Amino acid sequence: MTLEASLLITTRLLSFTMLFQAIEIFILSRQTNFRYVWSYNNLRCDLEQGLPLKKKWVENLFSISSLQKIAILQILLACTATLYPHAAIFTGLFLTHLLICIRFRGAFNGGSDMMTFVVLTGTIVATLGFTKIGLIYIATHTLYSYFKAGLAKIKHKEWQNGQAIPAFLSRSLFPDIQNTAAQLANQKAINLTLGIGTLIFELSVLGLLFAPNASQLYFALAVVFHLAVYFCFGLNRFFWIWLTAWPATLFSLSLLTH
Amino acid sequence: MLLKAIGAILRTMPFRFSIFLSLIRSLFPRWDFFDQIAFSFVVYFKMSLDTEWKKLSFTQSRKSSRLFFNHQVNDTLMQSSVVEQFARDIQELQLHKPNFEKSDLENLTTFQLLCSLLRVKLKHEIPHHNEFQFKIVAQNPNEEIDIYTSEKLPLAIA
Repeated sequence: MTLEASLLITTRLLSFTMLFQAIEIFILSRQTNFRYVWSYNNLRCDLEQGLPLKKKWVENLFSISSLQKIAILQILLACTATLYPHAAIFTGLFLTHLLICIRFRGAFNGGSDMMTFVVLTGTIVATLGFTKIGLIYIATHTLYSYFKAGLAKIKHKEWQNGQAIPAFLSRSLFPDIQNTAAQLANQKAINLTLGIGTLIFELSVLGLLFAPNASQLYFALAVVFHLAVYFCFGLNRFFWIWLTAWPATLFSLSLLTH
Repeated sequence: MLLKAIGAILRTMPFRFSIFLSLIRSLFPRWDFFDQIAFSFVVYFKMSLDTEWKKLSFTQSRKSSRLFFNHQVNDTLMQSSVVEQFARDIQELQLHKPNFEKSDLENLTTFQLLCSLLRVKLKHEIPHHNEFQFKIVAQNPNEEIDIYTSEKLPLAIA
């Protein structure tokens, strides 16, 4: 993949991902139950003690109506970024995403928020003119994210013997996946295959540094892997932001073949 | 001069650096997903002392269009993470302040969030009641431990 193509696809995908994320927040912020649970009153204690700002400013910045305004601003910035992918626009998206994460006590959707910041940072650096550095920054985090996830798993015996697969599936929000987990509980061979398969997939990402020609194949497997995670756990944001990180990763790995 | 002024403002505020770090934790990536089978935390509720505990469900239906807009599932994921964070907060409170008072617990942000969340969910499940009680149970494949049982709480949404 060329430098130009990688930057173009990254900026477009990032804009779309940030747009979907903002629309989700906007829809939720209009729902009565959501507004009641995530009211400023409930979050007051953490926000006022955790931010070095005057109480009045904190209240103005993190009220539900401000959350709606931040979501609208993110929608506008994301739409603008698809047409004018400038560093200033992505810096704006970085700030709106940070405000939303702070509003939800640090994260709205865990790991996907972290990867969103990684891709935003890399894209800001890339659009400032340091294109290669920005894309390599995204690629480094992306490759490390698979490896670290595998490294964290392999230490635990439940991943080595396959017990982890039905255990995690049983915690899905979807009743059909919970049923599948119950049926899988006694299928040791399947669980072991899926468990070891996950470990091999995640840890083998380091092999791409020595065999960058296999990066397209690994990317295809990664898409299937993230789709499976979405299917089992509903983590759509993980799917989109990791997909967004892959053009930079493919470009960076292509540098190793020259 | 400016630093003194900023220092004076900061001193008047109840700023806690540990909470600040928690609020901006997404800026510091950690990639150890789904690593170990820790305890999962389940909420049980009942409407009066003479009734049985019932498990509160956080299930969701699946639609293929949700690959793009999945706000309902993401909201439910947030709700279940509130339960986990409350369970973690109780354990920390017990660790750092073994004789903690009722008000210490009620002042937790996670307690406020959880009570609001339960009121919203129970209002639909059992609309004709005025009070409820809940407990948090830690579960793993081998054991179940009750880690917190609330007093009776008003069901009405303020």
